[in-house]
Amino acid sequence: MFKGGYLGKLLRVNLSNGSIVVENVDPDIYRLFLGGRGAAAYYYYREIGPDTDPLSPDNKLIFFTGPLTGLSLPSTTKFQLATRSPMTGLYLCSNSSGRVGPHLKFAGYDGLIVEGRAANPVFIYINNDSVDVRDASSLWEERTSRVEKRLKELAGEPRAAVMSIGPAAFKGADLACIMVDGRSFGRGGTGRVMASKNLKAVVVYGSGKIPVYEAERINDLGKTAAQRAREGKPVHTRFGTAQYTGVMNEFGCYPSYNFRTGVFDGIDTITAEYMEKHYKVKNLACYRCPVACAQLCEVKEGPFKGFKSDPEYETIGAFGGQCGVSDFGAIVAANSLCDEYGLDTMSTGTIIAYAMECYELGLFTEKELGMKLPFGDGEAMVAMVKRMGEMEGFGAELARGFRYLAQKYPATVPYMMHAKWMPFAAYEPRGFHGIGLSYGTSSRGACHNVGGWTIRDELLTGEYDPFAIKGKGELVKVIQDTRAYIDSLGICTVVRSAMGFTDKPTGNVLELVTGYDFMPELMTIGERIYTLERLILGREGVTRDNDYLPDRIMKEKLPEGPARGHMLSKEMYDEMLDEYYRARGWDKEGRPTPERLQELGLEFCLREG
Amino acid sequence: MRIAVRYLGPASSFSNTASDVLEFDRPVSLQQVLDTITARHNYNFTPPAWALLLEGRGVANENWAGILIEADAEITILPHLSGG
Repeated sequence: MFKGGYLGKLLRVNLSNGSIVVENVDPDIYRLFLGGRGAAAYYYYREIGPDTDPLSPDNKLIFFTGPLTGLSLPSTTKFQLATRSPMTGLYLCSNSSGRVGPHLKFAGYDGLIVEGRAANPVFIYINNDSVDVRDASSLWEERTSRVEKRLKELAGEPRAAVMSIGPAAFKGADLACIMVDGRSFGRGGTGRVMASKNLKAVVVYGSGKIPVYEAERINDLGKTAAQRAREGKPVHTRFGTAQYTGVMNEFGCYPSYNFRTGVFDGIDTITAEYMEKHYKVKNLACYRCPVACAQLCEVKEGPFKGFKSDPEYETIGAFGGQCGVSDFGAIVAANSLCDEYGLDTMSTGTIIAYAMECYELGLFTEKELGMKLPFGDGEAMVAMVKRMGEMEGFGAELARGFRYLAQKYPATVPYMMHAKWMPFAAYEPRGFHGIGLSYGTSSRGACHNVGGWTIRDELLTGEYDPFAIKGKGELVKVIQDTRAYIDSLGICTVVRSAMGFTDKPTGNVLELVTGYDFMPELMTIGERIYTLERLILGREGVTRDNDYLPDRIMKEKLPEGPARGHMLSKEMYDEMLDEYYRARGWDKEGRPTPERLQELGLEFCLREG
Repeated sequence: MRIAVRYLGPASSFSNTASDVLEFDRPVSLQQVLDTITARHNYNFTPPAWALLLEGRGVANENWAGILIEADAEITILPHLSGG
């Protein structure tokens, strides 16, 4: 069926019994789900039952590349992970850049499934068709940057790509991520799942070629697309996603002080422009990316002198506005520590903001926390990040995430900004109502990407009033479906438009790569993936009740700024949610109907109940 | 006729100013306003990199050429946000 883009092979490593098997992938899986997120969700649906404990050997790490991963096109860096999240207790999809995805394909595999649990710490080493599981005892407690260096030495292959976990994961942090060449599978506790398998790292080196149906034409198209992406993204190159910081604040939608307001009084020293002037060292680029949006920053003076990291918009939002911290050096330091310990920056910052509010309200005492933790105190924030990374003192509590904290400290629940236990991203739903619906209906909890990033449509197109309700259900569905198929391609969303991958797909990239004309079906594939994910979530107990937002969003009005006086009441939200379910062909409880499952080619889900 | 221009966030780094007030003696197209800005700051704010609000409301990139401004107005130029 396919003449390129796919290798058609999946590597399965069972760490309990040491078996290493290469399996064929049924081409129908690619026809229906494209690859990447879609294929990973399919295997999750098949192999991870609703009663699976996220930290048991029965949970799996399902990595999948897409048909474009590793090709000579712009930013073909992405690969996807599906697993059951210890942070939310639910299905989790996550994507990462880095070189591991491309090298997995160069080695001959579209996907990698890791299952079981090793008796002792190990790493998996994949070198083309040679695959083995090696001892990692001496590396187990190492931080991520040292692990990468040492693993390349141990493997004897300096060109290898590495994904690894840091100390936070093996010490039990549910916020732990998997670091991939300086990027990450960030959200939902992927690192803790990997630690539960006694797996420190996966090292991959591949030297093979990925077949491409029309290789010469793809090379030419790649050059044109790279040029288009570079010319279309000068602001990303100069400022990265940090560019949104000042802009969101201007619209009163920059979540600050744990979402108590949408205007940050310390904004002037955390904007992208300030970052460029005082902290930026150079750009960093992911695999084959012509935009290079990552901004490496260094703190040159003050208490955080010497720290280096590349904070993105979300990280600046979590550690900046959310924690009320206006010292950009503290943000760089917090980001750097998260990377070294292997913690998700977004969840870490948002949970510290929650702890700060609880501290100011007297719900957490100085004695309990082991420190004063007021809003705006950058040094305290960085100290708490360190404690979370080390799982020391109250840091060990916060690093378990909201689901755990809600059980243990029920009085603090009103101050947890989350959906399905996933901490919010840095956009204010009371100022952009569509993003509220995105958080509520995202298939991994409050995520602005998987949930559908509505800001462009609500702010820039003139078609939507940010405070309107009508039309947002349909809008969110379209953006979610678009994102679902893009996450299955293997490219970064920053360059997608340059290759025609929008909600109205154009061009012939996929046909030139695979020999199969996916273009007319891409939005249906996106909807199919999203619907399958909803079926999985339903199987794990999610209903309409789980699609709502915290009371702060639904009952408290924003106190200041351009969005002053706005909230997203339950009545307003219900109207959006009903429209969204209707657009999806789901019933009033958010369950996909049998008719829609049949229309989408998901009959097998009906047959299997 | 006065057209106030705001350069929001990173846009101000490309124009080297946070705002302008442009004067025209007759109705002008949005494109003419942008041409004036280009001449003044030696930087061309073009799609798809940049977005534009007219009186606070977004104008899709594909509609820029067809807009005629006939009275005092405020334009905001900002990066074309693309997800993050």
